[in-house]
Amino acid sequence: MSLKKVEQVKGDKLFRLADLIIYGVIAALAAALFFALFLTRDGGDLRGIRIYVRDKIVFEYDFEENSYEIKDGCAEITEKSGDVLILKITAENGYNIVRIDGSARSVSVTEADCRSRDCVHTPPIADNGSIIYCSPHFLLIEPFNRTEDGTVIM
Amino acid sequence: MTVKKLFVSTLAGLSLLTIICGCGGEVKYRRRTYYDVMNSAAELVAYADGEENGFDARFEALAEEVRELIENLDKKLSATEKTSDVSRFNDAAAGEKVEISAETYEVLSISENVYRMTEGYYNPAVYYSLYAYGFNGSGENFPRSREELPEDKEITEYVSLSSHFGELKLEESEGKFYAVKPEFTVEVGGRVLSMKIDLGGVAKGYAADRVSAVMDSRGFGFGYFSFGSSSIAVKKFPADGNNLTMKLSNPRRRVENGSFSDPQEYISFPIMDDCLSTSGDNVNYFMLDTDGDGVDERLCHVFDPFSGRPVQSGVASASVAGGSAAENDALTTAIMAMGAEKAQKFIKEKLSGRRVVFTLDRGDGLKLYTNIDAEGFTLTDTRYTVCEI
Repeated sequence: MSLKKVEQVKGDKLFRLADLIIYGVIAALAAALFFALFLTRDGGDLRGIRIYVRDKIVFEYDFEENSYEIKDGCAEITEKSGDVLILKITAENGYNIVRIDGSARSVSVTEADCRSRDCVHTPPIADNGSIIYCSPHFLLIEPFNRTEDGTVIM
Repeated sequence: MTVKKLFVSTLAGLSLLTIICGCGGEVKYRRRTYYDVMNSAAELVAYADGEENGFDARFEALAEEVRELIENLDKKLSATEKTSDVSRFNDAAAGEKVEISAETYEVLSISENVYRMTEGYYNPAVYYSLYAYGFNGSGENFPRSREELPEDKEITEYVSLSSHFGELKLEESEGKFYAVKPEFTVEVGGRVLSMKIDLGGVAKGYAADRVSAVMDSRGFGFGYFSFGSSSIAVKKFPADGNNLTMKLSNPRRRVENGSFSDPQEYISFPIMDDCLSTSGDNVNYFMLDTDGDGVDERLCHVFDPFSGRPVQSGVASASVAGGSAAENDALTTAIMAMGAEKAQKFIKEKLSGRRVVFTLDRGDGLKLYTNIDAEGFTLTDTRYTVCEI
């Protein structure tokens, strides 16, 4: 590069108007991508849950509509107090008591008659990334839009 | 670097980071179904690689074929189904030749191979010992006191009987398959007993291998089939460089104040297009003070063929990836029975091509033994001391 050219570049403005417009557009696109990809992810609020016994859906709770549907006779509402619903699921070889808090949007198993009671010790479901599973009773509580992050547990 | 270049580079980097973070590690479209078979829950998951037309219909067809396949296998391999190949073999007299299906023949062949490879530490003929300890139901048959435990003399006879598993003969003739029962018998309580087998230690792994082949034939390259806490056939994941993250359940997870105080898993590592099987003493077990010292021992469904009793080697869990799920299923049982020292030697000599992890709990701190390179896994429960094999 000639000395003249170097002097010309040095004398230029740091940012021309056209440069600023292009950078502005790129920044806006990056911001739009950020909002589209992060704010619409399913790891957020729990929209609802399904309860399965073996491979059959027995109960559904929709937090958006604040409504539920009993899909099988093995699911029975034992208590309803405000936004809290207590549900008894009776499987072939035992039962689980499920607590659904509509205002807190959380679901937990509070009691089970199996030996390990792993499901009772599992933290409540409060987002779309977690589940509760009771292997002795083949009971699974799963969010409507369960997040898939490619994790498998053995 | 000029201020302008720095500004452009930073902006480009931030944009790229946004895209990478936003796209990685998560997929929205998948189908999942559950099965209840072989006294266990199985799960089939398939991911669509992008927006794929007709995915739902294809998945429904896959799910139905898998259901038929595993229910069919259960009918042949179950030790409790009266008309299964295994039950007919068990009911046959010593020395009798029993016609079996091609699938049972294959599972027995795999069992024989692993029996020889492990020098008898995997032995499907521990049937009588398993039943004597009540592992033939959902826990209702477990002994509730020392007095209800089987007697030493009885167990000695069962061990003697199972030690003849190597004499079982498999024959193939004109497209038909046969198993010939060993001639050896024992006498227990005035009854003459011939060999009986329980293929529970390999059947779920075999089912996972077969389901994996069905997924391949139907073009499902993304997803997995998991059989309870026993075996899994893993395909690809449509993100994160196609790896799924395998997390192995923590066999020593404690409960404090009503909640788990330790992580659900103790180790994680990437996995793709592979099979893994695992055994653990935290599944299907009961606690009983067997020696009267006031301390309960853990008695699990994994048996030591040489003692005829639940394993007491201190190996709490074992997992093997690579090879077939059926073989791995049997190998994990053998590793638990071998104990830490013998298992390390065996893994070095015979399983160098597979990824193996086992945990040890002898009351002097938890240990994790593995032949996976340190960079190849993440320890998620720091109570475990990592020991290289």
